[in-house]
Amino acid sequence: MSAIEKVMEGKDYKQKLSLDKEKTVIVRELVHNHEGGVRPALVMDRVSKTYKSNASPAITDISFKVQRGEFVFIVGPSGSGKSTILRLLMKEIEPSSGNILVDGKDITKLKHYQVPYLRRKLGIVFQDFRLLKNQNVFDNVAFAQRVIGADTKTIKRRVPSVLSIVGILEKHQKFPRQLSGGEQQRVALARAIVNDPMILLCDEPTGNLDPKNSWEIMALLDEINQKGTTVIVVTHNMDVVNAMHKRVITLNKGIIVEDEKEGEYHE
Amino acid sequence: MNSFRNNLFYSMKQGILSIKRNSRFSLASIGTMMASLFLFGIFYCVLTNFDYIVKNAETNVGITVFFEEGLSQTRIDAIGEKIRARPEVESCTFISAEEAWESFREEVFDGDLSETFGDDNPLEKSSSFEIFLADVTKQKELVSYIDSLDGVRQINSSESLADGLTSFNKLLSYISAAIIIILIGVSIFLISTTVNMGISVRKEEIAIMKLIGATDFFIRAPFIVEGMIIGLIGSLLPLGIVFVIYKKVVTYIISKFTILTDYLVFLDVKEVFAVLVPLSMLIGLGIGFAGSFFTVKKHLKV
Repeated sequence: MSAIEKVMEGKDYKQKLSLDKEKTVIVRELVHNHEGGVRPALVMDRVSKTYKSNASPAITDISFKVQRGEFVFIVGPSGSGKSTILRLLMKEIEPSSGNILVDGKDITKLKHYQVPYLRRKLGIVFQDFRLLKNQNVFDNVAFAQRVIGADTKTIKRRVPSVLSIVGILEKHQKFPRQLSGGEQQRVALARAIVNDPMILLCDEPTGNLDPKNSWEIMALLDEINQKGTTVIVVTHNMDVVNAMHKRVITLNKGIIVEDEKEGEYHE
Repeated sequence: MNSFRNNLFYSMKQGILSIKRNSRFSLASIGTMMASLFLFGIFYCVLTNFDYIVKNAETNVGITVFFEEGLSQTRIDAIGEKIRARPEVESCTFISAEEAWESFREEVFDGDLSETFGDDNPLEKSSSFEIFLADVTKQKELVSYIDSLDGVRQINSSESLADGLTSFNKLLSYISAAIIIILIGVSIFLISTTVNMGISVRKEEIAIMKLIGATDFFIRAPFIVEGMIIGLIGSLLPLGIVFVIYKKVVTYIISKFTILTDYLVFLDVKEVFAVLVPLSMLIGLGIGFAGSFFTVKKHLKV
């Protein structure tokens, strides 16, 4: 059953919908009408991706929907297709088939010049932090604001506030090399949320951290989620997933094998 | 609009910072740009002056038109009007038989010898039009036109001189075009190499910028600012050097080769630089822009 069919199940729709025809239009209607008019943050509809024509697909017929304000773990072993989903959401790669809707817009149809505006709706946190080495903590976070054309006054007001949320304000003049892994990830997190994104995408955010820092980062993500930001975390950290009691989508060999509201992850 | 202005200021600041950060490559680029535009400046001065000298010589290439015997002054005037109406004609002066004899006597005979002719005019039937051309390449065309006019007996013209000047002019423009194209090509390559170096240092930064939603303009602008500043500096410095050299060389030639001053008429330095300054700056900025624009474009497909 695809995401659209799941959403439609039990709903009162006047016309009989054909899923194969005008798929995007139907999804848009659902997005507008479902659950009191709130659009889902993300809809993946029968998405497949094959990197090379003769290779086996990285993901096959993936469908799921993430509501605004949800916290979702995407888990699975290496090669299960987790990173492919993230790369598709960031529009680093194109799907071989299917549709991906972010905030009701089909991102597979975006033109090259529209991609930056999609990415501004997403805050992205990487396993390897990806901070600008020659800029201090403040400038690393301010950089994300400059990208969207914020003025200096706004930057000076917003950046300290976000650094304070992630608990690194006192180190705002330090450079990345002067910080621990946990601190660098806090900076990356601050950069990801400084523009108030709709969805926060985290790619193995605890992958390079010790357990203490991992828990602190997860607590921060939970706090950010409580304030209304949709959070999607790709990870294979079982302890973290099982302790958080959040929705868990489990992938294996490119297909969804489980999608539980308060799930657990077992390898 | 505000965000565009903020981005623009940020890009300019980043462009200047980038020149400082990559100071070695920036200096190398400015140096090569200077060398190219210095050569360009020298060539420009030489070529425009050659062109000026040749154009001067062209105006000394004349055609003389003689009329059929007994042609009335009215018909001669009518021919004169038709010739003057041609666009390639700079001037068309009527030389009467008396004026021709007077001028010939002064040029060829001593006063005493010419007295032997008394009041006789051996050039009685040699009244003529003396024509100078505005464009020497049109000489053949004009001669055949005048030849077709009724009442014209003979046309004297120097085809070989006209042809020589025309082909020399053409050769000069081909050589200058080729040299300028080569110099511009070399400069674009050098700017592109500098920007490439800058990009390889900042590749990771560009990838991060792309992922956090930077537009192509935001990423590209600092590199373009950097390229254009390099281009501008690289064009202004050689202009100063060429200015000093030009003045010194012209003064030297005029003072050392006084015998040639009738033929070597140089353009005034102001006249040359009125064109050379904006042209060099435009080329510098253009090369800087093109070199960085196309180099960055390759790296934006993320």
